[in-house]
Amino acid sequence: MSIITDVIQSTKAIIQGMGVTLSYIPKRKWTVQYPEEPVTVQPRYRGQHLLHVDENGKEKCVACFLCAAACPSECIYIIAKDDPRSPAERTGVDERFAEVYNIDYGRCIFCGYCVEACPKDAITHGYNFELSVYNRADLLKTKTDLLITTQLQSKNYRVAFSDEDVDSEYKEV
Amino acid sequence: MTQDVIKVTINNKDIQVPKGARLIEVCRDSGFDIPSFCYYSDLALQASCRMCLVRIEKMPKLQTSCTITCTDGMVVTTQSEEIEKAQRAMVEFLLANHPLDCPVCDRGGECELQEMAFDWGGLEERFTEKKNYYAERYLSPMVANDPQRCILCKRCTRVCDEWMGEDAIEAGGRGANTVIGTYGGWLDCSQCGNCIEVCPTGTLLDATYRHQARPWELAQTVSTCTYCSDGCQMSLGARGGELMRVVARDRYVNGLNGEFLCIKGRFGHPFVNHEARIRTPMIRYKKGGKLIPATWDDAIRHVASKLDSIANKHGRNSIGIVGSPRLTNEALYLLKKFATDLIGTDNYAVTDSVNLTPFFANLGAPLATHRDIRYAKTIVLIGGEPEELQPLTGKQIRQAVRNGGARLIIFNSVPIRLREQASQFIHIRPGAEEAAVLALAGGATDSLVSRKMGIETAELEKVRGTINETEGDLIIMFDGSLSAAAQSALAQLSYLLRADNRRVLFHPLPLYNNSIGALDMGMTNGAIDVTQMLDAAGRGIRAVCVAGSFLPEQLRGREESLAKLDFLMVQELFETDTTSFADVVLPAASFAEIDGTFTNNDGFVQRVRQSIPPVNQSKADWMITDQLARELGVEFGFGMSASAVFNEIAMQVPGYAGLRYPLLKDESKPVQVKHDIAVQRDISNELETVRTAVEQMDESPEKHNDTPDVGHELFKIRTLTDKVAQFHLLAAGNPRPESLNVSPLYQITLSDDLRAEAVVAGD
Amino acid sequence: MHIEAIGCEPLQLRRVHLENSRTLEVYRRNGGYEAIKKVLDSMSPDDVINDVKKSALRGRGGAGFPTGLKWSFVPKDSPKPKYVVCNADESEPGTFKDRYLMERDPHMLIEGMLIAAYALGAKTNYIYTRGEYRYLIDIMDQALAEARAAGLLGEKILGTDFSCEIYTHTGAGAYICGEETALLSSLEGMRGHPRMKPPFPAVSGLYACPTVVNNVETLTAVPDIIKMGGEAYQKLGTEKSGGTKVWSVSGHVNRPGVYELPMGYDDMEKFIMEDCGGIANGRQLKAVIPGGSSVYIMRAEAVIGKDVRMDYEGLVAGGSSVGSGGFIVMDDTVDIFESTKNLTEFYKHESCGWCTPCREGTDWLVKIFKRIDNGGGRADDAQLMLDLCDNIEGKSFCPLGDAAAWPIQSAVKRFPEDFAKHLVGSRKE
Repeated sequence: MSIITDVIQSTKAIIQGMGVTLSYIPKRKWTVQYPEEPVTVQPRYRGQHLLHVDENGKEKCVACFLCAAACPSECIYIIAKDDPRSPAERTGVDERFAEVYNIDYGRCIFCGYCVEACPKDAITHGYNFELSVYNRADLLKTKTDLLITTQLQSKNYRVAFSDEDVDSEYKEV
Repeated sequence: MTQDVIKVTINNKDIQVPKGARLIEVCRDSGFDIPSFCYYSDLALQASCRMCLVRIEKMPKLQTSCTITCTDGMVVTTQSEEIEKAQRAMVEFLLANHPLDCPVCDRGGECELQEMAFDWGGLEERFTEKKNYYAERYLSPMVANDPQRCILCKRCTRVCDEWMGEDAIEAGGRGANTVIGTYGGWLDCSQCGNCIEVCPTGTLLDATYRHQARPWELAQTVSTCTYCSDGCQMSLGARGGELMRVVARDRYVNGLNGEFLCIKGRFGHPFVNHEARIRTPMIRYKKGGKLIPATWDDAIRHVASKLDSIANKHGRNSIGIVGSPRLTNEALYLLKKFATDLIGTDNYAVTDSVNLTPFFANLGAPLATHRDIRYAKTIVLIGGEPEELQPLTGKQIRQAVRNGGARLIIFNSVPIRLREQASQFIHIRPGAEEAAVLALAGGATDSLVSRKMGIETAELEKVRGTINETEGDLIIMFDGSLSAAAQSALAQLSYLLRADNRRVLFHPLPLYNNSIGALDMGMTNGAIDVTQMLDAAGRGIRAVCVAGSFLPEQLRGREESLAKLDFLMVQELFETDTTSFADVVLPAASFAEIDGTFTNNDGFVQRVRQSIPPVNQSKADWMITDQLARELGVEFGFGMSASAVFNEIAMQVPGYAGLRYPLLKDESKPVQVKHDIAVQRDISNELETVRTAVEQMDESPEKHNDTPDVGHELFKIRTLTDKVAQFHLLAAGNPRPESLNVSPLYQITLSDDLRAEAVVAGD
Repeated sequence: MHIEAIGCEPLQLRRVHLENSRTLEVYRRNGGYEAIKKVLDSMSPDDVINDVKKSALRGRGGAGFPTGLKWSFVPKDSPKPKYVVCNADESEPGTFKDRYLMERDPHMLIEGMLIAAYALGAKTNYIYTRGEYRYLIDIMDQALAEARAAGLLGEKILGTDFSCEIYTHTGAGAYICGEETALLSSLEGMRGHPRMKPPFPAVSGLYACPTVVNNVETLTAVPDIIKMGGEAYQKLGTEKSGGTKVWSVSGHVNRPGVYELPMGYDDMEKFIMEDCGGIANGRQLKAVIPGGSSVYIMRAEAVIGKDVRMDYEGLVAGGSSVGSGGFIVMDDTVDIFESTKNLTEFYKHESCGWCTPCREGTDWLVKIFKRIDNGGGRADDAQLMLDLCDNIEGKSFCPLGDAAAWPIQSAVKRFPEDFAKHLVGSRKE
């Protein structure tokens, strides 16, 4: 093969390649500039769990252990405690509450069975997804990390509106 | 026994049943499930839950199968649209006012109402009205009550009445406002908690386990109770190395006690994980110094060298080996083997307050099982107070009288509560129990006996008359108040009292869970007993190894003895009077942490199973002995296997021949030790000894006329019960707290005052 | 109050209008204690039982069980003591005949009990009165004292070998204690809960001994049976139910009161419209509950022109039953929904709480009534009530459950318009 043919073919290939590249420049871009821009997550997204409180600020969880029983990866650990105080002084909505409520995110598979099992609507999946840590032991989240009143919420996500079409980007591809 | 057999047709299937069989049992045995709440086979019929409805041909309405006795040719339908509608209706009615707070309820997960609702409940609740409300409350430090959850099956009230004879709880109010309650609002009873056990819902709950765990989280282990000699089977519920609760529910365990447990068995377990447990081996390097934690190796080495030097210096018999009747057969066997084969001392003993050796040496009839007691025809009780010290025996006696029509004869200086069931209560002078043996042996000494007992001669004739009329089982029970001669004579009386239609059985009433086992293992055959050993301390005895502790009554008056010893090694759970003198203290594992066997007062060898790993650094007693032997140069070769020790017991101890752990697996079919039955022999010498003793008996002691308080023994604060806060409340008179809605423990501070009061009351 | 015997000579009501009718003297002057004399002089216990059997007397308490048959169930050779218990726990709404008989003629009851005790060999007998009838106890005690003083009670009655004693006892005001086994429990000092049958009280009743429990009116009928002979007494009524029956008439009639009618009185319409003076204030008949609150309610259409015979069979044919004879008449101003609500509250209050369907069912029904009252009615509530009644009826431990279900069932079925009015479109929202 002569050197000339070589040059011609290379140039052609470059032009072809650049053609593809250049053709994308005017098109809409899908890249999210995370973490500068927040990620949009589905309303049903299964992020870090949230333990809820009722309208009076009482923990909804009554430590029934059903979430722990339902958990396939056995990552929920609870210690129940008796709360003999009057309803106004109690921590939770009932005389029984979770003194310790731990979820080990090293094991959690975000299946949502715990949420299904909860008879008190006390646990749901939140949207926090930034769970990476430097130390594996830090994957164990305690009640403070999980309670809706104390969980640190990341600013790096926004929840899609229920009628917002977040899926179609994937359909195009 | 031949029984008439009749034919019953259930769902088109012909079934042969014995005459008089109860329909609900027949249906269940034949595989037709019949739901029920209020039916409880051991209790009076109630027929109030209306779940067990069946259709019987030629009867106008649906019938409750729990009340129907099968008749020949009866045609029964247990499954039909009509019956299902009725049963679903009953569950719907029961759930109408039920709060449905299963997530909070401690019974959730093992609740009969929950299970029934799964099978018979509707998908949707038609009841949309407001539910009747009652506040949760406490009935006693042990019993929590949520009246809303009650379905009024009244098992609790029946159990309290029929089993315990206490009648402490009863229904109050009427109609939909009926509430199970107490007389006076605070439960004043023996706190056995059997009402909790039989409750099918979460109405009556264990207040000590309140909101602690969920049943499915607990690993259930079948084991034997470590308190009295009845050997109740129970299920230990543990979670994460912590013993959470003890139950006898028949879904977990089916032992000789059914669902019965007493307060100690059910609530006396928190000592297992108590913070006061001895954590590590400890050595006191200098007399009068402090106990300093050490490693196991160091401690064992220290003990071995001390024993070695003392044996060399003062001879082998200067070493005393002491076991506790609370230890397993394995531990006791190994202790005996350690004492005789390794140390080579004759001075070994058990810290039991009763020695039944003479009785077993002359045993003329087998031991009665608790089932035998339940169906006995005549029961003679000499001394003792079973309702406090052997509660299961007490319950069986009560049921034998109430439900089986047995006759109960009591010889006692105290009007114990069981006398309410007695057909004859012979109120004797304190200390005159022995004379009862003479009275049973014949009428020759009646005038002497009645004079010493302080009763009419006619009473003794009546006793013998009752015995002579007995057709069926005659059971003779006695406690430790009999002398050796009286025990020997009594053991032979079976030959005298038996007849063609009458079987004589014995039921001794020792105090500890393995008193009989200690005897079988030969630990009671030592040259001296515990008090003699203590008296010889510092002279004949220079070193003592104790597995357990000396009893307070054994140490009383001998407080100095332990200090006189050159060396004292103690294997214990807690620090006691004995450990305060110990040179080496080794942490022993409790019954919940080990494998082994106990032998109860029926002679049943029953398994003790490991429920949790040994707490702290503790070790099973037999393993400590084994390790010590290894250090002294003898390899017993049992490794880590308790069953290997038991294998050797089966080879060495005659009554245990052929037994293996697998044969003891089924707690519902306990295996009885084959105690040697002595041949009949002349007992006139023994009777003469007893007669002489009776003649010299003091006639001055006054009879006790007051019935002892309920729980005067059960609530006593001892080493183990001391670790349960609730026992302190009970021992201090079970004060009623200000608010019934909060656990008394949160309201009454266990101040030193209250504790002191409790300890005094219990002493 | 109007007192009258219609269609027959007054038997039960023979003396009640007399002055001092409750005294022994008046009773004796009017034929009292002749029957017991006749019995003691010339009859064996079996003769008495046979006479009562021949009379076709049926229990007047509500169930209508033949009395002679009941008596004959008592085992003669039982070594245990036997008891006669008079059930004066008259709690059925609409019934007040027993109160009247005991208040005005206590000696008739005493004589009846003596005869029963003689026939059954009972030495100790009880009159169990409901708690609300406290004052009747004083009257009865006075009468008993009089009889005792006259040698009619106690040791060696009328100089014969027959000895017998009667005691009074009051309940604490529980409807359930009118049920014979609950009555016996209460009499023994326990909670007034019904007991399992079998064993029937005739075999194992009070203190597990053979016991006969009879209504007041049943026992007061006995002296007349003895005096006139069983057959003659039976001929007063029908073949299956002999003698006369006392009805307690209440409600919207011009002459409410106590009426004695022969069994088999031929026309209920005539009884209401003529004998009781017709409907008050000139209004129209709407409904009749002929036998106390526990029986089916009857529509006017089922009474007027239907010739409903007033005895056990006749009333069953007419769609109700005799019950305890508490005859309640309602005019067209009555809202059957309201009257049924009232009855249901009564049954809820009186349910003893022993068995599930009765305890929870009546509570639920009352709650439904209350909800409808508060404007929360739903179209399917009538159906729900019927279904609940069906679930109670025949499944309860004792007949109280049935008694609670029947009035509701019949009211919902027979007066659907009254219920529909409350249910549909009444939701206050």
